[in-house]
Amino acid sequence: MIDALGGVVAGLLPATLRAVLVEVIGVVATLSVVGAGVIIRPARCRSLLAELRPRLREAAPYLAGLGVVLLANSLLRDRAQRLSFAIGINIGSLIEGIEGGFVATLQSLQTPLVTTYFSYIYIYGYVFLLIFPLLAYLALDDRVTFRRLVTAYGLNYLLGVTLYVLFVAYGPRNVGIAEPLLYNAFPEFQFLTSEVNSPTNVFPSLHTSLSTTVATFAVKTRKPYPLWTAVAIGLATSVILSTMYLGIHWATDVVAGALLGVGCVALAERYID
Amino acid sequence: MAVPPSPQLSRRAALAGLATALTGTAGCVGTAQQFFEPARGPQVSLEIKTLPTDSDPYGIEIARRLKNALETVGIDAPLTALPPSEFTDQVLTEHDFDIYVGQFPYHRQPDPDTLRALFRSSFGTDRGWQNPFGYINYRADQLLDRQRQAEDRFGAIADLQAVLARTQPATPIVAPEEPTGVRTDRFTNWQETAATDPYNLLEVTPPADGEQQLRLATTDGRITADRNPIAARFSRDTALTELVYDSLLITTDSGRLEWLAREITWSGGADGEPLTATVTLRDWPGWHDGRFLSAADVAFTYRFLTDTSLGGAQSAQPSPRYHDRAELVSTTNVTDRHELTIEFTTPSRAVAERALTVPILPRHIWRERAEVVDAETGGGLTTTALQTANSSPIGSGPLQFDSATPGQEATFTRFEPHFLWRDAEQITINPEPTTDSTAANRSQNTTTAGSDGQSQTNETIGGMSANTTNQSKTANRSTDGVANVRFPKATVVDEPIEPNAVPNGTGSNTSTTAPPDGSTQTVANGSNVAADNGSSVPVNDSNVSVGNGSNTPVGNGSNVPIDAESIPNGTTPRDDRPVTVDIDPAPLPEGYDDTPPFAGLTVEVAPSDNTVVELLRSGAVDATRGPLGVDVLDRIDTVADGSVMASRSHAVYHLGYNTRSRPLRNPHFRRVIARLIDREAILTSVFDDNGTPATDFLSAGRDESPWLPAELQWDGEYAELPFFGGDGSLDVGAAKAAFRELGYTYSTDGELIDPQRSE
Repeated sequence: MIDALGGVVAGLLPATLRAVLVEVIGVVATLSVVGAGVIIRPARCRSLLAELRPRLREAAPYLAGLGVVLLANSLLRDRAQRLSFAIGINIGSLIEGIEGGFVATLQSLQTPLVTTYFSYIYIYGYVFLLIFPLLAYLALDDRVTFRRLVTAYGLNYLLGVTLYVLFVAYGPRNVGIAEPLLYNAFPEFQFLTSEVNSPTNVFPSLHTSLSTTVATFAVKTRKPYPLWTAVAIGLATSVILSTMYLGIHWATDVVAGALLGVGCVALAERYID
Repeated sequence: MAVPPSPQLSRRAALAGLATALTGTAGCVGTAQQFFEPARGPQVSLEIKTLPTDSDPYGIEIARRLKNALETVGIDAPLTALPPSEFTDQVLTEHDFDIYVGQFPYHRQPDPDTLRALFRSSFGTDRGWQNPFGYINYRADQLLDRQRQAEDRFGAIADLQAVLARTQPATPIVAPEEPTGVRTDRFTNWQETAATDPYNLLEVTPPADGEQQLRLATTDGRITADRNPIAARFSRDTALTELVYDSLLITTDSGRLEWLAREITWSGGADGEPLTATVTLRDWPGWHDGRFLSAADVAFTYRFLTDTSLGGAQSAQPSPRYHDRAELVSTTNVTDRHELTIEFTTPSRAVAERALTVPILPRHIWRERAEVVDAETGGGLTTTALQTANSSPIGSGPLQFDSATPGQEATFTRFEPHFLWRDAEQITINPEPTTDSTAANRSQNTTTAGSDGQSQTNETIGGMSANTTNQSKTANRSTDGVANVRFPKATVVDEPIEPNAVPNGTGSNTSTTAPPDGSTQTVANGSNVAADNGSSVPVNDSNVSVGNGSNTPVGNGSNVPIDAESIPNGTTPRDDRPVTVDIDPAPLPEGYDDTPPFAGLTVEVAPSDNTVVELLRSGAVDATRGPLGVDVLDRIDTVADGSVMASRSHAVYHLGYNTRSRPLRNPHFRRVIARLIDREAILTSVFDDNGTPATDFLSAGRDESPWLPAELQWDGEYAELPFFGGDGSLDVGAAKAAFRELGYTYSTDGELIDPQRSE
């Protein structure tokens, strides 16, 4: 049935988007398998597989809630943009006034290799960073962290989208401050990112907030997963830098995103036992 | 850099030390000044609005250079990028802007009359590309009116260009060479200039293996959600909706071409005789919904574009896009099913031809949209016709709308019965159930009666309105400009009609007409008479109803008995059955042949020019539409079977000033700003020399243009308003001196202060 659903979804997508999706899924799946072996370790993997059904059942309501939030976000995205221009505050020139050419300065360090690195991080690294901890925390005996993570994801989206409506701005690549390095090097990636977000939703940076959320939880779970703590922090830092290096976000968006990410962790801990 | 306060230091010394520390940090100087010196008044601030890089890679770069220049001379210049729909709303509808950077809305060579809508003061409160600048200049108004006269048109335009150059309501910068990426592995024989201009797309050679869908990629996805041809939202002259609707004439690189009109005969225009065109349409053009187009639709279109409320609103609600063109028509008079005469308000044929390029709208659809509603943006009232997205457009053009996913794609199919490809010598017309038309008419009359308030004049008898008076404008309110013309969708008669069986001349609004008998259920009845009140209300908005020659019945020969071979245009039907008609296929427009170029057209929306080119490269599309940045052009050349075709466009990049308020209200101020623009530097650094510096809106930088007087041409520099400086660098001192001469002053930190606002 998942095959059928996958087939239907794949049929609805244009070829260019399908190709990128397949790539991303392939890379993330491979990395996850490696991570399962190296980070989660075979012992926990075995116990996860043994208790897969009950754990999934337990996780289902949380995942479903997150699914609803994501679905609503994607359905309302176009209308949300109109709404944000109607009722929101256009802060593009304000942000530029505050930080000026910071992103341009960052981009002046560009080399093709660095651009490739950050491009892969922005797409593959980010998706892996979000997906893997779901697996890792599901494999733990105490899955409170799993529930908190899923909740934090949902809160990030809810609060993030609210802020998108209230504040509208284009990123540095769209106002001539920075070059669109990601899309110059890998134009096909824009088919994917434009499905997920609109270019006027830059404040706050959801890439940053979700990465910060994952890294914060990684620090909290350093006892069972010490390796993951190091990996997550490194990866999150790279993701955050990539959003600016690639000209997609302002430094202001990153700061706001980091605050949002940490805030959502705090809220999740407060309300999920 | 902080000075640690020591208990020994006097307070004053500490403050002085603090001030010293602060002055070392550039950004804080202003703050420190505010503490220690009296305020001098607010800095002049001009917000720049434009499209983002994703939509147009060039505009934003020009805007950024403008911003830098303005800030160098002490003007605060926040830059705001807006998506196209928002740009249209804020700049063109609400007039909420200071300066915008954008493109002139005509890609093809515009007739100078296009300047009228852009710069005449009377359009300043209208939407769309109608004087968004709020420019008011008496001399320009005079010249804009005068250039509509045939004599000394060139003189008037030369003078007009001089006035516009002197007073700078807008500053033209560069006429771009617009590149189009095409693939030649499927479709070939793309036109060299403007390969994806709608009418040029009809001339491609299809692939050898039969009809295929021609696919285009673009960043401007508005057509996927909105297909309204007459609202302000579609600002370009080369939108694909042009192929959904036909017009009497079309504009091509080589001039005007007869399209829907098979023949146009001109008369008058001199000795006080109004210029008149007798237009014969091609035989039986069809609408996409199966009905047939007639001269009544043409007459209706002119009436409707002048007032989409058909008299129902307090003041006329013209189409923002076509108002200035519809204004050129004073009356229309339908003389036959496929023939009408159009009288113009101008004696100049070149100007009058502009009016013949409007899209012809199906009367049976658009007259239902005359309802007055609240405007969604910009306040005030508008009509359903101007607000609707027109999702399923019905036109008579070569492209028929098929389906669309908003924001993603839109698909059109080739309309096979279009005159370009219809090679039949006969067509069959099926009878329409007559109840339809009376019902439609009944509902039309009831709504008008309701909205009117003074309605007893609109009694409906068998579908005919018998108005009791013609004198006031209210009489016109009940009509859509074509009175009670209702050509039968099909009626057929086998034997000749006796003249008195058809009470003719009843198509008018004259009260003396007795309602025809036997007319209740049927469509017929002298309905051939287009007593057309298609007179557009003259510009002076007088309430005198004009052109009432059209209110009298026209002796149009429908009294003549008609033989059974031809379709009579107004008869009492004997019975409804399909009829086959001979059509006389007129020659096709020059340059077009009857080879179908494609099975249809698909437009794919991509988020940026990078992805547009990626779609081309991967073979997902055959050609691109819309601006492509300099960086991506190289990538097209690496595509096998791909090439870039570039052609000079008249869609000049320019600065538009909102002259409604200070300081831009002052033309001298605008002239100084215009001199901050270094066209050569912009051409090199932004356009990579793909284009020409432009000093007006008609010439696209061409020296041989007949419209631009020699002294205003670009010859390495612009003599009228030379750039402050040279060799790419701004002479800040000279610029500041120019502002000072206007009475502006500079604060100590170099901010330009508006003298009228300082304390």
